Amino acid sequence: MDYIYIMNSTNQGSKLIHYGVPALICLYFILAFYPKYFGNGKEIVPFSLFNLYTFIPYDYSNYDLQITDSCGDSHLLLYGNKELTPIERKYYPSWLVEIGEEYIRSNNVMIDSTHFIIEKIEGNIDLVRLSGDYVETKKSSYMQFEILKRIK
Amino acid sequence: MKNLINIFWSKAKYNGQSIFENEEHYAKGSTLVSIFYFFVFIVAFQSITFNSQFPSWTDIVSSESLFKPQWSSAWISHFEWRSAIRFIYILLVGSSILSIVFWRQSRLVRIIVFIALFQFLSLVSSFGAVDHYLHMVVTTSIVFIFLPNQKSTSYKSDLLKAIFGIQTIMLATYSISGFYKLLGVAKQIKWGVTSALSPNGLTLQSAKTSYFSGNEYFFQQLLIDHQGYWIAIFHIAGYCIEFLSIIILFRFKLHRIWGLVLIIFHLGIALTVGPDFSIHLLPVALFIMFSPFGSKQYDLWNDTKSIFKK
Repeated sequence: MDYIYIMNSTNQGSKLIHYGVPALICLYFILAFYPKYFGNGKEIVPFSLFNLYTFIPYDYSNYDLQITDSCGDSHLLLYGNKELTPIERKYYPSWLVEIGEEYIRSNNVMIDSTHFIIEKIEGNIDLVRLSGDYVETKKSSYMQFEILKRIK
Repeated sequence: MKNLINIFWSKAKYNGQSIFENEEHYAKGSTLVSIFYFFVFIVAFQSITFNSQFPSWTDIVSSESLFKPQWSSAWISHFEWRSAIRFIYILLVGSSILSIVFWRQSRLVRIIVFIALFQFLSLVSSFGAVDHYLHMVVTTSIVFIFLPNQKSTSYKSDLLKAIFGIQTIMLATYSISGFYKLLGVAKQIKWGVTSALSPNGLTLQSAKTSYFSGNEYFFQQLLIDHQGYWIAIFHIAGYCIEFLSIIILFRFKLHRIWGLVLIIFHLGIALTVGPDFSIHLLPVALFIMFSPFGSKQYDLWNDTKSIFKK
């Protein structure tokens, strides 16, 4: 007969470990799968979301803000901006997706005059759409550029 | 259910003996957990310096307007921003120092370490994107909450069971992630679009992460200049390494070599696609590559050779 590890008076394992660890393993995977199939697709920290890098991307269509100063010089808020802090680099991609999708839905961008980005940036701000092929953009910086709406 | 749990623990045998009843395993496991808690201190130490993977604490303090709280960091909005941030950092540094000394004696210290790590992960992930390099450290710290204090009569076997639980979570995480990637390949082939089997699959993945991060990765130019099926082979090999990870859970002789393979896998990711998992690598190295359950008669090289022996 095969060896079966059962808690008894000779090995005296802690019940918390014996049952708790397998229960935690089950909970870990239930909460990791939950957002994908039943939730909003957003990860429940600190449980891993397993579908990262699942698909190979090809063409892209991303939103950005074009900032034009009083001298007429312009740059983008996210793409190619070396001045961003690590926190800003984390924040802006998802925020730009939100305002881009909002524009597609309502043909409007709801950013009021007290929004930090309006207060922080001097000059004109336009919502733009950048599209192209990731590899071509990496090789030659070529991308299609479309101004969607003046925000400030 | 009880039977299933008993079978799970009873499968963990090496040379016919339970791995949880071996004094050498315990001695090694105990050292590994000490190193883990020292590593938590290094994470805490790095969090307050300026040369680490974490956003600097000054950057976080000045970014209140960008705060989009995770469920676990929503409480911060109810307190004065600077004080709440400083509290998390002090909790992390303080508990990590205590854990180096008291992790064996005090479950309370281990609970506080978990809360501090969890809050720190939640904080750095509350600015629009979740950071994944700390997940395994946090998960490991949760498992050690189950460990009784040292005076418990079953402490030795419980410590080894906790380590085995951590190994299960780590390896299953890799396997499920690999499963979804291989499923993604099948779906993209079915849709008739570029997949990981395409000669430019990895190049596209690399160019995408580079687009958002603004960084150029070590082998990125090579991938762009020399696209071909050799790249697809490496790409799919990486997916297979992830997918097959769970298979080695009960094959203790393979733990060390598989731990090294996973570390090389992460090195490959850093060189091509970019995500830096160096913090995640230490728990993988400690509990898989230096697994306490291998035989001390062999080293990594002899473990590898023994795979090919009957």
